Amino acid sequence: MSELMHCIYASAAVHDYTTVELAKLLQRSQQNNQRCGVTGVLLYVEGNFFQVLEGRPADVIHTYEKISQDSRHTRVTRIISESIHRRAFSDWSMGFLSLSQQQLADMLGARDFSDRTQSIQPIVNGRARKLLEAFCEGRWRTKLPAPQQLFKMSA
Amino acid sequence: MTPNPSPHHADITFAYQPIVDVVDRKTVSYEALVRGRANESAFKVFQRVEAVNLHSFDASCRVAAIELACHLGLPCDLNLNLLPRSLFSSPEAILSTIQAANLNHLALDRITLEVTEGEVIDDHAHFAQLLDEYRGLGIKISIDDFGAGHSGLNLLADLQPDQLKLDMTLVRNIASLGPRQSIVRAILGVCHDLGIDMIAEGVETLDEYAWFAEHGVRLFQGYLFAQPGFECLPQPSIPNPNPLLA
Ligand SMILES: Cc1cc2nc3c(=O)[nH]c(=O)nc-3n(C[C@H](O)[C@H](O)[C@H](O)COP(=O)(O)O)c2cc1C
Repeated sequence: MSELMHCIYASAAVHDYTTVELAKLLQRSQQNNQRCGVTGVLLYVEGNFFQVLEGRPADVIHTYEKISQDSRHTRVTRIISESIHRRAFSDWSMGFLSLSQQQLADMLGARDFSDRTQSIQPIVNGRARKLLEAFCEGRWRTKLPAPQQLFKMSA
Repeated sequence: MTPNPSPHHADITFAYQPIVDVVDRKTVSYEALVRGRANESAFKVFQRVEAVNLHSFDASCRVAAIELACHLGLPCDLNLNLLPRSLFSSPEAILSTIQAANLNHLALDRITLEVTEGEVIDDHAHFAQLLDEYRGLGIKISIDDFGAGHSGLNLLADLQPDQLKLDMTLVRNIASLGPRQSIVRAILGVCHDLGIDMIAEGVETLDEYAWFAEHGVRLFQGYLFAQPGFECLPQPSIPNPNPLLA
């Protein structure tokens, strides 16, 4: 049995989160993760979450199960769940980035992901990084359309 | 000079073909291709192997390929072929590969195991579980000849490799054939979503190269870049992909 795994998912927030709400969520997450040695990163972009969880299989699976039942988000979509050789975010009990569309565009303007922002610098090459890039490029956004958009679509 | 061959692989040797990253303009890996001592093809070499010995032969090929590549001063990753059924025949199939890598100071995260799509066993989930254990050691997994077998995209529901090598029949003349373009665009979308690198293999013309480059593919293998080098690690030539756009 392998010693480390990662689980990567995307989800949609049920409403637009305030900074205070996000800070609270993050604080609790970091405390829990530190206790069981789970590391990773959480992105919040215009109502969409994207998270990488890494650690011992039992801890990652347990944490993911809790998260997937959390009513603060919906459309929780598991993208990848597999063994890994080493962690991509060993220093982060849960790194967090909240980005606007403009910040994302700036980030993606740089040729190489590692140039784009200081905070994403330490990411090693591998699946977690590739999926993070894909999310930043607009993949795996599961956000529910706003009501008026739904209305427009059916009109 | 080649290293002392063990009796197992006394009459085989290897040719190495580079896999190039055309954006960074460098060789990221070499695929080891089995050859006879007089440069006979892999097909001829396998004809001489009796069915009962197939899996141990397959395993000894990987050992010999590692030894020779390291002896030649391998500066990058190494892609090695694996008969999927070997994984079920005995643990020796992979243990000997790991041992050879250790003996030759080749880190396991520099090894990619290539499994041909058509040979993948039907129980995808079980197969994925076996490969996942090697993934935990740092070994990367590649699906070779993707698009030639019968499982196709379906396979990716259970198994997400690090790398996918497109079958040559999809590559050939792609620049002028709509149905191939459409299939490859769909496969590219899946690769992008799942963090899988696509390698365009068997690329022979500038038109083929340009089509893939325009669609964001950066990893290539084929005669256009370099032929397999018999008992050597050849340097590729990387042409400008967009002669028409330049
Ligand atoms: C988008 C999102 C990400 C979360 N990430 C984590 C996390 O990394 N670790 C964690 O323990 N809880 C995380 N949670 C919170 C869990 O769903 C759950 O509320 C929490 O683990 C319960 O903690 P407790 O068992 O200490 O009460 C997250 C929730 C959401 C909505």
